[in-house]
Amino acid sequence: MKRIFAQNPLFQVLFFLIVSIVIGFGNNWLRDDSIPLLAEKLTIATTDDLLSDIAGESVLKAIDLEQARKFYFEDVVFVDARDLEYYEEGHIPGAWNSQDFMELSFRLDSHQGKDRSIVTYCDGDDCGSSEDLAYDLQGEGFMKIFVFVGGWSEWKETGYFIE
Amino acid sequence: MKFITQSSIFIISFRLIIGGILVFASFDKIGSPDDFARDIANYHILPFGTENLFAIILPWLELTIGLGLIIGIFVNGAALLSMGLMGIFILAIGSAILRGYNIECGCGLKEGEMVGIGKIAENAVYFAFSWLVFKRGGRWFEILPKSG
Repeated sequence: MKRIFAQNPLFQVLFFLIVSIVIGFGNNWLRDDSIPLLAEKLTIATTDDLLSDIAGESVLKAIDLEQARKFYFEDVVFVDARDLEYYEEGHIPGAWNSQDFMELSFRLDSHQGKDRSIVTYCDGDDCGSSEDLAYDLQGEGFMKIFVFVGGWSEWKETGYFIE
Repeated sequence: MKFITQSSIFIISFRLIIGGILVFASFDKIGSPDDFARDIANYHILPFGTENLFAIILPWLELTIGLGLIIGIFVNGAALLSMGLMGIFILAIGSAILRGYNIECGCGLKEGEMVGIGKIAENAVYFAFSWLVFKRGGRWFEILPKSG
């Protein structure tokens, strides 16, 4: 009886599923860098997040077009997270491209250290590379990273300067 | 087709290839579930938030079925799940291409791999290998379930 049960492919599928669920949740619960069971959206930056260029703990927040524009005129570094071909087609003036992450990280560090603000952007609401890049930069020790959610599409639509 | 499913050499090779790929692909994802969750989210297929659940479970599913295929434990179940995973990957990559997304594949085999027709073809081959393993004509080097 037990043997027939074990030979049933559906039982075997169930076995793998249950083992993976148990180990997956167990591992996530035990590890230091565990992730929440449900992802949370990046929250919009508050005035406190924006005011100081030196903060005790790392800030990674979303910003809207208006805030992105303010940062732009304050000469905050913008980093374009899209592929080089899209960057070359057009980008926010002065934005750096992120093709070589290690080089970007080194350049940013030499340019302004790790405590000053950086804005990342990609195409718009639907892309995820600006957020990926922001987390990678945070992982490298950069302290204030803002993701311009509207990205290149929104910037271009408003008719602001483009390059 | 029958000469393939009846050949122990072919079937064991397919088991080792798919198993090895699944195990290898799971390492990166297990190492950084947050990166993998963001890769999943970039596909915009799942309801927002649920990508974390998949990022927690999926790599371990890949690892366990990969080991099952290599060691020879519950090979039928492992082959069925492998077909299911490859099918889902093909649909996900296909939908990303159709919607014009230029995103990282998140396949876990090579850093920075982007979605593309090549990835669909690759997964289709693995799907076919898994199907051939499921339809195999004998049990070679399998530990569980015990035969007889």
